[in-house]
Amino acid sequence: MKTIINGIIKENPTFVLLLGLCPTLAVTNKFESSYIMGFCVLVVLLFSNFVISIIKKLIPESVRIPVYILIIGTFVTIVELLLKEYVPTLHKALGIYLPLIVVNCIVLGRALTVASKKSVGQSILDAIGIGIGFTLALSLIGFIREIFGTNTITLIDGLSEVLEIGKLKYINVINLPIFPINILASPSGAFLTLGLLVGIFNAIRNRKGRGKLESN
Amino acid sequence: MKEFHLHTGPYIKDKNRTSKMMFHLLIALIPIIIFSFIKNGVIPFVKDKTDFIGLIYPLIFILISCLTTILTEILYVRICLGKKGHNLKTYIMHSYSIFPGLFLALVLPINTPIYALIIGGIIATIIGKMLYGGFGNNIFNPALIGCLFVMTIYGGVISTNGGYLNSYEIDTISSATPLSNVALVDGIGTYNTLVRPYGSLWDFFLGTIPGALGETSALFCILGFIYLTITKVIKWKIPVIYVATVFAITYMIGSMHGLGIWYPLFQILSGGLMFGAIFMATDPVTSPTTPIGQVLYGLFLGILTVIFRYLTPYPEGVLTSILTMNMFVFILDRIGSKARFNFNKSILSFFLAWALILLIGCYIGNTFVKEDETDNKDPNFEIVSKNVVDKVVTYTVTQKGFSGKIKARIVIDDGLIKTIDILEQNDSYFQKIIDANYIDKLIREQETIEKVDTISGVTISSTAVKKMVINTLADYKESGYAE
Repeated sequence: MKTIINGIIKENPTFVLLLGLCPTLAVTNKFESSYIMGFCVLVVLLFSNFVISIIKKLIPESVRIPVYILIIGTFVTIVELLLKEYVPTLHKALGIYLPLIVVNCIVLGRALTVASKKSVGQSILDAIGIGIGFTLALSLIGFIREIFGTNTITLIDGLSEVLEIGKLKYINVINLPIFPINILASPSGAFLTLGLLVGIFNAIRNRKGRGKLESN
Repeated sequence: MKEFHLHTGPYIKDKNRTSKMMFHLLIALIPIIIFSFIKNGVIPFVKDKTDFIGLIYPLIFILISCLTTILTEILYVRICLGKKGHNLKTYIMHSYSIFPGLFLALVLPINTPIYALIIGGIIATIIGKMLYGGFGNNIFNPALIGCLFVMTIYGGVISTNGGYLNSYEIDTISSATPLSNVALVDGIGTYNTLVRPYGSLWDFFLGTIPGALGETSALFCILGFIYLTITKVIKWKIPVIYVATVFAITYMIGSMHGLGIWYPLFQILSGGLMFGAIFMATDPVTSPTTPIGQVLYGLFLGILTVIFRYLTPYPEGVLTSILTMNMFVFILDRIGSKARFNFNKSILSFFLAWALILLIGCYIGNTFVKEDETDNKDPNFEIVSKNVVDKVVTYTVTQKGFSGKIKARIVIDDGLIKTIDILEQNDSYFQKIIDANYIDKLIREQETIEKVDTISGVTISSTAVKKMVINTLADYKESGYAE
């Protein structure tokens, strides 16, 4: 449990480690595509951590990175083919960023730092924690960007084909003259939102750290 | 980290001097504020175009903007920096938070909604100033950051409200600001299309032309410049070289087409160039401190402004070029401090600047065509193919739009347009044209197509679509398929 919470808060891949920024900036213009992206990374991370931690003794030190990439690539391909078959709209929306999970530094980073060193159970827990942390961070950015950038929120659009429920395509949330702030929906808005969120996150962490020091 | 810390201007250590500088700056701005009050409040009131609220609206507008930035800064310092009481008071006294608000109000059009102004003020203070560490540490001019946000987010709302025109001008002047006129006119334009609608160049100098609140009057900007130079608040090099560079390049462009001295004068007197050069580019915090750095800063500002004005779809380039050059202040200061002992160190940058000036002047002068030389043929229009079956002609045509070409298939039967299908376009706002049923409207009102209004927010693309249809019709008539 501690490992999971560690992955969500203390080592949050987006806000603290600042890893995997490419999908963070590119696919978060819609709430749905952000959490699906986070979920895909979670799945890939879980399986690759699991497999790598099982076979870590078999891999020679000199070729470990190609082997890790190969394992990660296998799972990414599986996820990509599954999405392409069942949720083609989402597959299209995520575009090139889905195959790029292969070189996502979160997945490779966790394989190098955790899966190749720790036990199978530890690696799985770490993958779950980091994956959930990444998903939450992406969802938060996607939520803020979509709600303020386009006034709508896409809860289930592409997924509704699989789940066989009615389309909840767009929900119009706010109706104020000051919105939408359409710059947030554009790529520059991604940088702004991420920067501000990292700033807020760090400010809170610093304040907490200072509080601890003072109480000690 | 300490030894890498770049000291930020102003360098004067005596606190009284900084406050005196700011006091002089305020005095230099007062005539401009009064002028904009007379132009946007008193004149419409006297001409009976507005009520009492409209009379004092320019002052309210400026006041709200100033209050927003001051309040935002107080709240930010109180909550995020945790300063209270006396500390808070000293901090606010020495951070001059009134200026971003004042400048923001002066560079925005009068038709900006109040909520947009307030959001602009908040963004200017927090993102433009406080996140960098407050007064003296900001890289970018805070007011321009706020203005950029307001213009990108609420540009559509502002132009539907009437853009830069105040309630008096909206009835008397049919076109928008002089510079957006340049963007709409294909090619360089003539005295009649550019200057005549607003009076003469004298009006440009006095400032009775449409434009943002504070930026129209070149006269009061120059008076402010003289006052600020005498009191040693600003560095005279930046504005003089900035304006001179723009003058030189546009003179080159103009003389290539045989246009007189009025053309470069028109370019430096219109838009926010004077105001931006004198009050924005010389901001002590965000401009170079070394003399050679300042010269280079002015040169590159001029070059960028010309590039933005001519080669991008946006009419004005002062704001963006100042923000762009703000990023390079550090590098320019480095070159400047090296060149202080050995001038040869900066020769490369000067060479680059001169080469760019010549290159851009020649390029723009050659690519833009003077209006009356084009023989009524639109250079942006092109017929890709046409398929003639008796009196029914299917055209595939392209027209240069906001970004890239718009390609369409137009079917004309017996002189009447039957269908228009847009095949390709790259404008991300093009959906607005489709949403407004603009194309159906063009077909419906094709007899009086010249009078169909363009759509605000996508003015350039909708104008392009309209022109495309007009050009196609003209070609149909010329070729004589109807007979």
